[in-house]
Amino acid sequence: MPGLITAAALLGLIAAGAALAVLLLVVTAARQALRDLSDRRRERLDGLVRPTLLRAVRSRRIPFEVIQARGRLGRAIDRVTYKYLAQVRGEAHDLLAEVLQRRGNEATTIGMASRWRGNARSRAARRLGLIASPDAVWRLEQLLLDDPSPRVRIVAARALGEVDTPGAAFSLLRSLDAREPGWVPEGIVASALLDLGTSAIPALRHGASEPRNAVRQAMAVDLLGLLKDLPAWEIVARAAESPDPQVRLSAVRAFGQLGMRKATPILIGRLSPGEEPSVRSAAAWALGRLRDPRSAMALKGCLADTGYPVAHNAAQALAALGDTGQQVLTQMAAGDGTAAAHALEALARPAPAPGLRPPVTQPPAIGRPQYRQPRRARAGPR
Amino acid sequence: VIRVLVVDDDAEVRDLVTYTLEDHEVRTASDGDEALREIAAEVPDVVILDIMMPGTSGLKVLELLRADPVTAALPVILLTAKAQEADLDRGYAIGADDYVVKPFSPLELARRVDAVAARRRAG
Repeated sequence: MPGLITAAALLGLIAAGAALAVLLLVVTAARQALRDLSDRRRERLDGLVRPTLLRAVRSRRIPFEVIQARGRLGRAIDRVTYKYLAQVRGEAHDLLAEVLQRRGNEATTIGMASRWRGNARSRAARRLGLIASPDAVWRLEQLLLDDPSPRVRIVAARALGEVDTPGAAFSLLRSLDAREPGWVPEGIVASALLDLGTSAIPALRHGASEPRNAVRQAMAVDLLGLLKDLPAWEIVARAAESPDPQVRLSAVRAFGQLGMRKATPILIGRLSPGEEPSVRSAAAWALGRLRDPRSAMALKGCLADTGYPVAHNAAQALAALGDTGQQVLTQMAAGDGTAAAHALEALARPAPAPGLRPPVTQPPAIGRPQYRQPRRARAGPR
Repeated sequence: VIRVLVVDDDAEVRDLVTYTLEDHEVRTASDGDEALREIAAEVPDVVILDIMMPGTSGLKVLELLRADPVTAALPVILLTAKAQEADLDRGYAIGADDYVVKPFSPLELARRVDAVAARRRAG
């Protein structure tokens, strides 16, 4: 009898499990079907509004029905407008941003940036970066500096890199002064500043002159070099005398990027034995970029340095100097010890083309400048 | 009428370029293989080619076009989100005629299409 009860219970359990599995399958299939239906409906609506928006872009006139549409159609207009907005700049961008503004979507998105859900604020930050109006930029700056979510702050930083206002660069640099280290990762801030390109230069010059925050100052100096801001020469020269080794390193790297020979005496000064090895190594690299024969003797003095990067970069820099450097290397190669080894190695390599091939141990740069065109065609508030 | 082939995996970009070049005869392809089929069917006057695409990349398509005597001189404008020197250098080394970086200005793209088409006719 107990055996029968156990078997019945087991069968009951199996049946219940099977029923549950079937139920789960049905629910999953129903959800998928509903999602597909919703996607198809959304796709159909998007397809309806695309030609209207594209005609507006082409004719540069916004039809009344686009501004007035509400409900599903209105949401489709907003959705497609943002998709197109992400792909264009100039007049087309301004027109699409105006569509959103006149539909009241810009204000809605600014409101969305205050929602308690981080996902909503991230999406709002991305959209505000696309709109790039002065009001949107102001809200983005708030998100960057005050939002409790790191993800939202990162999206806001990237979005600020998309907008073409000098204020955006100041905000990005201010984020490095935030209440706790790593408030926004430095790489993200640097990349966004590079995205801004020349419009970031006023903020970078200010940051590079301001010694209160060494991290910010070092980044600003590095970026001025990468953006080839030659008028910032004096700022970089002052940074090369900073008490902070990171700032001096950035200044030396910036001189290498700027390629101005009047920096030679400063760089030679940074080769002195009392300097940090990383700064000396970068100074040797930068002198190789400047290709100034006046640096030959100072570089020769570094060939016997116990630090491999310093001696290696000095040898490579001598090789880049042309005849003067070659003579020094040939003379040193005839000797013995590590100096001779570095000289022989440098002589065995073909000399780098002017300004194109840095030595193997080039100090790590923050990133490559990507000179982008501003999204907005018009300057100033709409 | 200038015949243009727009190759981009992004539907929004294809839409925008097609509408911008409304005065031209525009065909589209969403990947490199489809582009090669379209060009084999009828050689256009200008190709606007995205670099980063799934499957056959834009640079590979360009390489194949330059290797074929029929399309060796076909004007190609690279359209790319990657403003990186290396990609563009390689594009020019293979034989691209011009490039436009995304986000792009539709009007500027239209002007460039007309310019490369005019150069081809003149040359």
